[in-house]
Amino acid sequence: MDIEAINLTKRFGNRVALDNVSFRFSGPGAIGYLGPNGAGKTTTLKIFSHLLRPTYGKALINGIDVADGYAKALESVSALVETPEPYPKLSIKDFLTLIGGMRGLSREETTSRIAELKEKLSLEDLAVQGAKLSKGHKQRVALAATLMSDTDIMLLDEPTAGLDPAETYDVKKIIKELKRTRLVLMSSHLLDEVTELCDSVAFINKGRLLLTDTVKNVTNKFGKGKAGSAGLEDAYLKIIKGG
Amino acid sequence: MALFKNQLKLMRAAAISVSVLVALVTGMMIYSASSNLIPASSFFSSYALILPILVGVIATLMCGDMGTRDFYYPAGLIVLAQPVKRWVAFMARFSASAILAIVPLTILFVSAAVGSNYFYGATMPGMLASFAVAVLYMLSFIAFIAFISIVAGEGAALTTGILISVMAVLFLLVLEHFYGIEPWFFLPYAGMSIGAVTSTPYPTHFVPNGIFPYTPYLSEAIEIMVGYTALSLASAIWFYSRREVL
Repeated sequence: MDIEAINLTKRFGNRVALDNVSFRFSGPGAIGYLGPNGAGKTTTLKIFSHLLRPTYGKALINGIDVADGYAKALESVSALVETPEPYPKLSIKDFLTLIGGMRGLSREETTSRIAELKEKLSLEDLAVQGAKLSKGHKQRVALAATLMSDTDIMLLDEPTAGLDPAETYDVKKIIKELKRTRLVLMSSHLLDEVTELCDSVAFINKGRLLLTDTVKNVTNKFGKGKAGSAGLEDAYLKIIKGG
Repeated sequence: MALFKNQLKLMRAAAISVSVLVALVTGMMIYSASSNLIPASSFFSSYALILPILVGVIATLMCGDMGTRDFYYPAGLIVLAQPVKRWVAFMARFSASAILAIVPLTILFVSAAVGSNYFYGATMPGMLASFAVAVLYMLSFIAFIAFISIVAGEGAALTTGILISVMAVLFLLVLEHFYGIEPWFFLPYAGMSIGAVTSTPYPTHFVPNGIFPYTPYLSEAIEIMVGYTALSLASAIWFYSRREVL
């Protein structure tokens, strides 16, 4: 299980969102994708989930170019990008059933997976329509949709955004479980979360990939002798801001 | 199949409300005509003239957002990241929309038949043929609206659909009456055949000095509708497949 960017470039008119980004991550494990707002994190994840097409370069999932063979490539990927929500007029159950169907799950597999995720993510009443959900509940439903099938690779864009501490705890627990057997690439602004969950980190700013290394090496090199999230915070400032 | 079922669920409420609206409007028109002692034959010919407008409005109200649902709703961030080819996703949504849009269309014809039978004691002649042509017209209209919605957004699709439907008579009048052009390139021109098939014999193709000098041959109307459907679908699939979720 691996994802690879080869000279990945994305332009929106004159604005360069991604500038010649190259990396290769192999799993299992979790990689934190760090950078300020507008750095290019979401753009990268969107290209790997075929929501955007690269202007130049390649995004490969298990060796398959997403731009050329997205249907095949996406069989190995589950993506939670930006802040997706279920359809306002569709119940949680119907929405998850749709995703199960699109993933090729049988009716029985879909039903049992929904029951499992209901428990894991405290989804409460599955008959509630998308429009009536709170922000945190919408995020949990979106995460449930992402977890509907057993894919090798998980792309998570700020997976705990909008969640309360208890919900955040549940999601972090799930990510810890996932990373044992799968490759998780997650963007986040929460450095304590990244320190807790990720094995490696990649720093991006202004569309350019600045550094990829293990969390341990990064904190050792740039963390001014501090351990944990404090060390990563110093490293972040040093690498991103040059401070 | 999952997307097909999903589209049916998403459109169920719209199908019910548009059906109720259509039944009410048709019933009121027939009641008003019969109360004003308008003869059945005059009512039927007027009704035949406005049928394409009603069909266009039904298609627009039902399917104006069909092509854009996945690109503008946040759910698209999940749905479009699934391992399903985009053209398959589009065709699933299109076919479900087209099938469900037949419900209000059927209500339109059934309420016209029941209402005219009740108030006039007669039904419009050639209603079955008219319904068959209306189904094809609606299919081509939905395909066209889907294409507009993917290219220009939901608002543009709704505006275009309503504008084309409601202003069709005016456009046709200008093109045919004032410029003497046979508007074979304009979808509502083909829609005139929905009403034309209710006349016996079928109206003459060209009547000099008429208000609408041209009436499409039935075969010509079918060709226009099939052409619009094919071109709109091909273009819609092309754009749907290439469109990005910004």
